[in-house]
Amino acid sequence: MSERLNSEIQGQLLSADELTYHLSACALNKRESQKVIYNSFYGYAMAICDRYTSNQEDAVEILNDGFLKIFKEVHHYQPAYADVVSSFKGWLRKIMVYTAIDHFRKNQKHKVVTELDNVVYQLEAVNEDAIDKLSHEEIIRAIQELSPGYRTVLNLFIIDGLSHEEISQKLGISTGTSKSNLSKARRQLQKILFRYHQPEAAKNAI
Amino acid sequence: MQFEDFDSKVRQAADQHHPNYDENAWAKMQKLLDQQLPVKKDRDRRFIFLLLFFLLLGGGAWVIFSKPWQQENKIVSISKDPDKAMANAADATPENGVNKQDISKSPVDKSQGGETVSKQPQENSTDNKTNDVSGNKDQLKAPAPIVKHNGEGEGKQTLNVPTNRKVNNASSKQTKAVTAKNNRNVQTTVAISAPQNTGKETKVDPGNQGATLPKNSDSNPKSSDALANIDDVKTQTNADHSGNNEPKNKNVEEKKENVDEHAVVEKKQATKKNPGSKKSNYFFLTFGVAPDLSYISLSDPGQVKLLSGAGFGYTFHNRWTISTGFYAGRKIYTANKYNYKPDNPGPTNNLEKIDADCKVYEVPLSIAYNFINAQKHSFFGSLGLSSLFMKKEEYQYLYKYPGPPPTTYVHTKELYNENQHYFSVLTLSAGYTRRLNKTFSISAEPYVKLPLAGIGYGHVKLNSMGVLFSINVAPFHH
Repeated sequence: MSERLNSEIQGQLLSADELTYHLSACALNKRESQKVIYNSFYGYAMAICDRYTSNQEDAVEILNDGFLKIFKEVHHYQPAYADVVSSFKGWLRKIMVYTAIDHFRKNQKHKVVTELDNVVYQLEAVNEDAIDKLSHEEIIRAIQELSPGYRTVLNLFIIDGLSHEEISQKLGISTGTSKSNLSKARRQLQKILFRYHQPEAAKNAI
Repeated sequence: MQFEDFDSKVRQAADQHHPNYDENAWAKMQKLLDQQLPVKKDRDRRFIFLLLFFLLLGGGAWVIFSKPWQQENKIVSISKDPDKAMANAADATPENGVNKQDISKSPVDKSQGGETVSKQPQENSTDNKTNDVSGNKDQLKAPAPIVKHNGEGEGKQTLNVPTNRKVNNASSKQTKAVTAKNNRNVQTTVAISAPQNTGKETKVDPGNQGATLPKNSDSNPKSSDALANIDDVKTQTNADHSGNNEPKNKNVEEKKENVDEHAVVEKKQATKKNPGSKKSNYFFLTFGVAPDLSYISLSDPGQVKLLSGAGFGYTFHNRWTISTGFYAGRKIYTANKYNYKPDNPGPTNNLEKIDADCKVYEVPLSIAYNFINAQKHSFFGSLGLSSLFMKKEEYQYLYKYPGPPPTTYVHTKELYNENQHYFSVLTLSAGYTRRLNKTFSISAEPYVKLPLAGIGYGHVKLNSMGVLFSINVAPFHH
């Protein structure tokens, strides 16, 4: 009977009751419900993992590791808010971010700069028009082109809203290094964006 | 801040990013789940259970065919047939020096009155070829002296007619044909004549019941008839054959004694042939499995699941049996909002049905009666009360909303060790038991279980039916 119900529910956005049912089934390690949860939140989770990696393969690895953590700990999960779906998405997001950080730390290839340079970079004003003309996919692709350290700090600060203190704790760096990398990440991203839209303008960027 | 707009654009781009679904990603995820979170398969447990069950059957079959405790029947019956008696008489022991073969092979020449007894009776003692006779040496008493009849009055010798109290039936049958054939000859040889004496009859054996010896030396048909009526031939000590007659009352007493002994032996044989007829009490163990179907209504039956367990009991007089045990199984059934009545019911307006999957422990207490009790099998009827312990209850509530659009969803509820029902199930059954030997028996018992109270969280009237297949072991049953 449960398999027949799952076939009816797959492909649809999960309601609160459906989500509750499938989370309960996931606590019992039922594959059908695990697949439903995976399929329903694939896009949301993958959007997070995409930003922290430069290739699809790594993104899938982070995604699957994150869902594995969710399925292992789902029996401990309790919705923080009345909105079950939003609560679960918030929990899912946090798990994916932490998994991405773990992935970065495990595969760290670039040393994170520990000191800010004394030279103050004079940046040209951001060409807002240029950015506006870029699609969201291009921005995400540009983020993927950043170096791993810069990409991670930029994602954590700008998109995921962590403070520099939190970032420093997560990455094991100082807050000064976190700020420095963020600044450099912005610059590098701008360069990439300008290169996408205005190759001539990118040449003038510092 | 100049970067605020830039940052907001980046955040906006991240929020709007939704990658397409990749089926390969789920395949990798499934592999990861199989490694890290493998699904427990009930099939494995079922397979192990069936394996144990068939191992039990195999062990029982081995016991049937090997029969390590079987003993040969060494009890021999004493026949009342005079022919057999003569055959027994003819089964002389080597101690007596008379070989039945020699007797049978010794034709009587009435005309000549030749020797009718084995020529060398002493030598026959070492030449005995009858195993049964040799095996019964210890049961023989000292024989009477042999009487030879040569017809010419040369002399006489007392014929030893030893008694073989317990003679193998087979050997007696073998000799029966021969001795019967030569019966008259034998009888003739027993007939004694004492031409030298004054004509007094010479007695052979006081144990020859009803045998009267003729006075004449000639073979007398009367003597053969008398011998033909002998029930038993008794060994004797050195009898006085000087011509004294044995008293008749002594023969009667001996006859009674033989009858009593014969009756005892026959009783033992009868008991051995019909163990069921003997009243016996014994303790037994039982191991059983049953395909069990649970249902509230037969119009919507649940699933057949395996019920298995073990128990023990006691049988009185091979008729009454009281038993108990411990069985585990699953009850899978479907209920609706009308027969599912929990203490705290939820909304039922759109409740379509409830699927239940419960793991239960069952402790039955039953009494059975063997109304047909034969040697190898018996039929019985049984009545019992069972206690149900709900180890785990899982209920899936299916709700259907008309919409639009029509939607369905399922709510799951799980309970652990929340409900116990003591003596709440009435069990009615009848069955057949096949005895393999004194220790092992197998039985098949179709049953029906009816609830006396509501079962589980929903207080449903849960019925069950099935067939219990058991192996019973009575280790101390003799």
